[in-house]
Order: sequence, then structure tokens, then C-alpha cells
Amino acid sequence: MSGKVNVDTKRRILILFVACVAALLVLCGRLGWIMLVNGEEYSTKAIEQQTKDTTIDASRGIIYDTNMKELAVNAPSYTIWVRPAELKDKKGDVKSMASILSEITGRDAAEIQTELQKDSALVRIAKDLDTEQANKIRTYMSKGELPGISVDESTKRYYPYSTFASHVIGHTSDDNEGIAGLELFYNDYLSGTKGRVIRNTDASGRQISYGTEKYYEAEDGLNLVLTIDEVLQHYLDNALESAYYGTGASRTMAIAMNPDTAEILAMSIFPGYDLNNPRIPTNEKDFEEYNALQSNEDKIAYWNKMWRNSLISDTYEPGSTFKLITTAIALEEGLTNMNETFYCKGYYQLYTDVLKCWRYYNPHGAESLSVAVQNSCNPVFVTLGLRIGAQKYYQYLDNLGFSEKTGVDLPGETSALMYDRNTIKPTELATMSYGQGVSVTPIQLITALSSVVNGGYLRKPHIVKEILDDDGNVIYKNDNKVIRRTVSEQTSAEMREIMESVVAKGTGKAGYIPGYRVGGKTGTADKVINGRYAKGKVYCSFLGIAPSDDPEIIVLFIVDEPAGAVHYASTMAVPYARDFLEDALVYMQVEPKYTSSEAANLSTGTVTVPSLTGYTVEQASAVLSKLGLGTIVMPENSTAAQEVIDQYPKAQTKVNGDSSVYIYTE
Amino acid sequence: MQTAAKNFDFHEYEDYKKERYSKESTMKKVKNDNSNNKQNKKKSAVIRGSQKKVMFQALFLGAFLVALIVGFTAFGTTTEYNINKMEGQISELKNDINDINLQITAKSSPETIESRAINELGMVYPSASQYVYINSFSEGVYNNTK
Repeated sequence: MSGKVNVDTKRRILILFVACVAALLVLCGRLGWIMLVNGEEYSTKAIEQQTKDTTIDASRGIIYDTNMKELAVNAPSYTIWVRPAELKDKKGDVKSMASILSEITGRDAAEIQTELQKDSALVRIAKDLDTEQANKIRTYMSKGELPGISVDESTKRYYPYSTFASHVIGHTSDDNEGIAGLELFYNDYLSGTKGRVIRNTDASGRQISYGTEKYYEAEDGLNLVLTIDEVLQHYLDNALESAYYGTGASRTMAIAMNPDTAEILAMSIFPGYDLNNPRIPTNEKDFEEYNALQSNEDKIAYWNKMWRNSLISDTYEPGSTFKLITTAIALEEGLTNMNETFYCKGYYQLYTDVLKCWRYYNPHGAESLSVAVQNSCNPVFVTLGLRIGAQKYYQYLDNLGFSEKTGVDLPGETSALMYDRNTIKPTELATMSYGQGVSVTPIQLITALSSVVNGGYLRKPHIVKEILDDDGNVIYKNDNKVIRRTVSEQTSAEMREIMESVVAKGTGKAGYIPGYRVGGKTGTADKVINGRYAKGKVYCSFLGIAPSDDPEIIVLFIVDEPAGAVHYASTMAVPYARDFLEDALVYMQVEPKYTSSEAANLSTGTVTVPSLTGYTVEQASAVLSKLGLGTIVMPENSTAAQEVIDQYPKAQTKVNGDSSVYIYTE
Repeated sequence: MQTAAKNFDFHEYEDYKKERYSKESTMKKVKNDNSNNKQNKKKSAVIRGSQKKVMFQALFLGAFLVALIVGFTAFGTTTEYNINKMEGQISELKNDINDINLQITAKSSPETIESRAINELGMVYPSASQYVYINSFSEGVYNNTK
């Protein structure tokens, strides 16, 4: 009958209803449990799963030379990884893959094959590949011929000029952190700050369109503008390379500075190293030595030696170049003057010690102060040193910056080694006055002498001129501040005059450049190895300034352990420093001022033969070579150290530019 | 006796009336029910018809909205995918450009230029007599002599 529901049906409906409600209540309870009790935990897991936190690498700052030429930049770099498990799943042909990867990366195919079959989750096959190599691999990947392979992109430091200024610029690690040179010293400025991108992604890592994204921008590193001039650095490298091969030295090194501002215009050590491959020596001889090393400790020691900038990190006995310091102090203190005459009898007797002149077999005799410097006569400087006295001498050494580091913006600077000022003996002071028994760094010496020739203003040497951001805004600029006065203008002028006379008439004759007033001082000093003077091993050096009346450049040129039995800085260092100065002065647009005879030689293409009597054969050859003249030695078996007693054509004779000159030793 | 008889008749009449009333009511009710049922049936029929229409409309609208949402999401995802792909291509091209610039810089080193100029182009450094200095403060050229 309609409207009348069966009681049983009603009961069933009720039971079903109750069951549904009960189930719903259970579900709600479970949902509530998940949301309220475990909600935070699952929420965190979901966020972790769906969120990709990617680091954005900050771009490392660029290093420019003074003319904004790029010396250190960033380049894309690719690393090839393999997942052996995935490779196995996809049944990749391991041999074929190894062959492909070997052809592209240059690695041994058998080695790669072993790595592809390693029992490891992730294996690196190759790193530091360039874009071309990475694109080739990607092409094979797209064809399915390289399963399990992935290509990761990053950036690496790249030095376009390879070995250029290697000891100055330095290099970075694989993580783009500075290890040596400016890269290390200015690492905090160059590194920048990494950024982050936090995105919601799908299982494949692709960003979900409706997901959230938080972006924390990376701050790129700051850029360095150096005082180094690319062209001057190149000229210095050329001169050092010529000296290295010409003298058979173990190495050659030099610094060139602007004496007025203490800006380092060029700084180099030859042989250098390839900044893009800093662990492999570029020199064949050095490479053989490196290859023979077995242990890691030996290799690490070798690398540290190769990367070491000895111009700031090592001291050396400067020898006769230090006589300029003694002379300047004596002049400044009024303990001598330009007109004073000294007498060299070949030695100086100091109590029981006999300090010989280098030309003890043929004493210099009477000589003025200027001539004494030209002759590099030791007894004169002993005299001056003793007049100055230890306390005053050390006071000036402090003033000239020898008792502290210069503060140059390179890592690893060391300071001078000197006798204790309170216990120094007279003989020790005497030897120090001519540059032995004192060890200074090259940077200290050139900085001190810059102040001596620039009117007496000591400044801090530096390599970085400015620090810029990516928009070119100047964040920091070096103001070339004067630290203190060292000597007076008068002393400085007298020192320049003396240095010019050394090149015009003294041991620095090979430094003569027509049209330019060049000044300088030579130095030859025994090398100290393990606390002892090493027999036959010397440093030959030349400190040159040009133009000497108003110096625009000062250079310290050092030849370490030249080969052969006879070592004179006048032949080992001066000619090569001269070559550099000649190129540098032209580049710096310093106009030559020719004397009438120099001008005459230029216009006619003839050369006036200089006087060679008294030179050694080696010295005479060097002088002639610089004038473009050939040398014929008579007799032919004469040694390089023998003295020239006659010549043909005679001195002052005009000859064609390509002529040869006969020199006689007997 | 009449009263009793009347009473008895009255009650019977009342009962009759009640019964008749209830019958009439029932009949009316039935009639009403029937007519209501008929009306209701008509009404239900009408309601069912319109409800169906609404339902279909709602279903259609819902399906349309779902399709719209799915479509937009798919479009967004595809666009995002394409953007990612293009960003990857842009990055690759930037790297290619960077590579080329690095090659240019490397080939611009003073050593490379000097070597090629001397060895391939026959460059010779001028001798001192060949330098001509131009005075910036006066016209023409001059050669300084002491």
C-alpha cells in the first residue's frame, strides 16, 4: 500500500545511515588527527618535496689592467657526470659511450669505461670542459647515445693572457676562491655574495606555474682596476725572457714603478706559470723536474715554490745597489758632499778585519763621491757607514721603510733581515753599508729608492688603482698618500745626479740610451742559501731611473744565479734593463732630447764607435751590440773576462750602422 | 421515553453524522489527495522537468568551468615549460657569446699580436731615427736637441 514503509526497510536504512555517519566520523577524526596532530610535520615534508632551493652563484669580479684590458674573467665551465645505475637500467653500450666521451674530452677511453661501470651513485667523468665540448655531448645525449649522462654548468676563472703577470694576478681554486696573488688578497671583494631561488617544482624539477617563487638576488663581485700596464708588462716580460736565456740564469725578476706615485707599472718573474693550468710548469726543464716528483707532499712544495712571488716574499742581499741608501743618508746628514774626495787603496782596515774593494788588485785611488759610486768602491762606503754610525743608520732604515713591510697589496709579504741595532758590530755596519749582511725584499728596496729620487716622499707601493662595481661606480680609489718624508729635495737631486753619472761613466754604461738621461746603480751580491754564502751563486741587479732629471719610471731588474764563471751586473742585468727602459720610455711618450752628436748619428745612420779600452770582452760586446755593431775578438780564444786593450776602428770613429769592431785582448 | 428515544436517535444521528462526516472528510481527503496528487503529480512532473534542466545546466556549467581551469592550467604549465626551455637556450647562447669574447680577448694579448705582426705581417720595430714626436703645444714636428 503506498506510503506505508516496511519496518525492516526502515531499520536497514537506519543501520546504513548510522554506518555511513560512523565512517564519516572516523574519516573526519583521522583527517583531524593528520591536520592537527601531524599537520606541521607533513606540511614541512610537502614543502621540502615540492620546493627547490637553488643557489645562484655570484659572478666573480673582473681584473683589468690600467687601460681596462681584461686580465681575469669568468668563463662557462661544464662537468660531465654519469649515474651508472641509470646507465645499467637503460642498457647503455658502455664501450661506445666511452669512445664518444674519450674523443670529446681527450681522456683515455679505458679509464672512462671503468668509471661508467663503477658501483657508485654518481661518478664524475670530466670537468672544466668548454662550451663546444659540452654542446657535442648534448648532441649525443639528444640522440640517446649517452644514457645516464648529465652535463652540469658552472663558471670557472679564465685568464685570457695565460702566463701574463702570473705572480701578480694569482689564480683560484676549483671553487673559485683565490689561492695566490691578487685573487687571494682581494678575494672578499672579488667573490661577491651568492643568491637563492626558492621555487615550487614538479617531480622533474620544472617550476609549477601556480607555485610560489622567492628570489634573493646574488651580489656580483667587485672589479679591480690595476696600476699594471699591459704593454709595459709585456716589455718587461720580453726583457726578462731575454735575460733568462742570455745569462743562463735560474730565473729573472723585475719590478717597474712610477717613483712619484708608487704605482707598480709592471711586475714579473720569469719563468712564470700558466694561470689556466697552474699546477703544470710551462718551462720544459721545470716540467721534467716536476714530472719526476713522486709524493703529493713534494708536488705541493713544488707548486708553492712555483707560485711564490719572490719580489715580495723573499729577501736577498742587494749588494752594491744598497750603496745608494748609504750615500743618501750621508748626504742628508751632511756627513759628505759632492765635492769630497776619497782614496781607495784596495781595502779598508777595520780593527783586525780587512774589507776588500772588489777591484783590490787595481785600487781606484783618488775619487770623488760621485766617482766612488760610479766605481762602486767598497772602502768609500765603509767610510760613510762608519761616519753615519749604527743608531743614525738604523733610524734612516726605519724612515725608508726597511724595518717594516711596505704594505703592498699582495699576500705573503715578508720584511727585511738586519743585524740587531743594539748589538751590531762595526764590521757588520761596515759590510751593511755596501749591501752585504743585510737582506731586503726587492719591493722594499725599490720603494725606498723611489722616495730618494722623487724629492724624498715615501709612498705605499700598490697594484690596485681602483675598485669598481658592475656599473662602473668607483667603490675605492687609491689616493697615493705620502707616508713620510725621507730625504730633502737637495739630497734627492744630488742622488739623481750621481745615479746618472753611474750610467754615463760608471758600471752602468750599458744602460745608456741615446736621447735619454738614464741613471742607476748596479749590484752583484753573493747568494745566501741555508744561512751560508753559496759559492758561485750570485744575484746580479740593476736599479735604473729615467729620465734621471725627473724620473717617470724606476726599475729594479734582478738576475738570479746567472751561469758562467764571471758575473757582473753590468753585463748580466744592465743591458736587459736598458732594453726595457728604451721600449718603456717610447711607449710612455717621453720625448728624447738628443745631443748634437746623437742627433747626427740618427740622421746619417752612422754610429760613433765608443771607447772600449778597460772593458772586459763581455762588456765590450754588450756595448757594441746595443749600438747595433758587431764584435770581432782577437785573438779568438780570448775569454769573456779578459780586458780589452785596443780596438779598431778607434774610439770616436763614425762607422755604418751594421759595421763590426775589432777588440784586442793582447 | 421520547427524550430517551430522541437521545438515542440523537446519538445515533450524531454518530451517523460523525461517520458521514468522517466519510465525507475521508472522501474529501481522498478527493483532495487525489486532486492534490494529481496536482502534485503535475507539479512534480513540472518540477522534475525544470530540475532536470537546471541540473543539466549546472552540470554543463561545471564541466565548462572545470575544462576552463584545466585548460588554463595546462596552458600555464606549457607556457612555463616553454619559458624554461627558452631561458635555457638564452643561457646557452649567452655562453656561446661569452666564449667567443674570451677567444677574442685571448687573441688580443700583446704577445700574440707582436708575434703575428712580426712573423706574418713582417712588422719591424722602428729605429730611433724613425720616431717623429709631435709637440702638442705647437704645430708641425720637431726633433729635440740639446
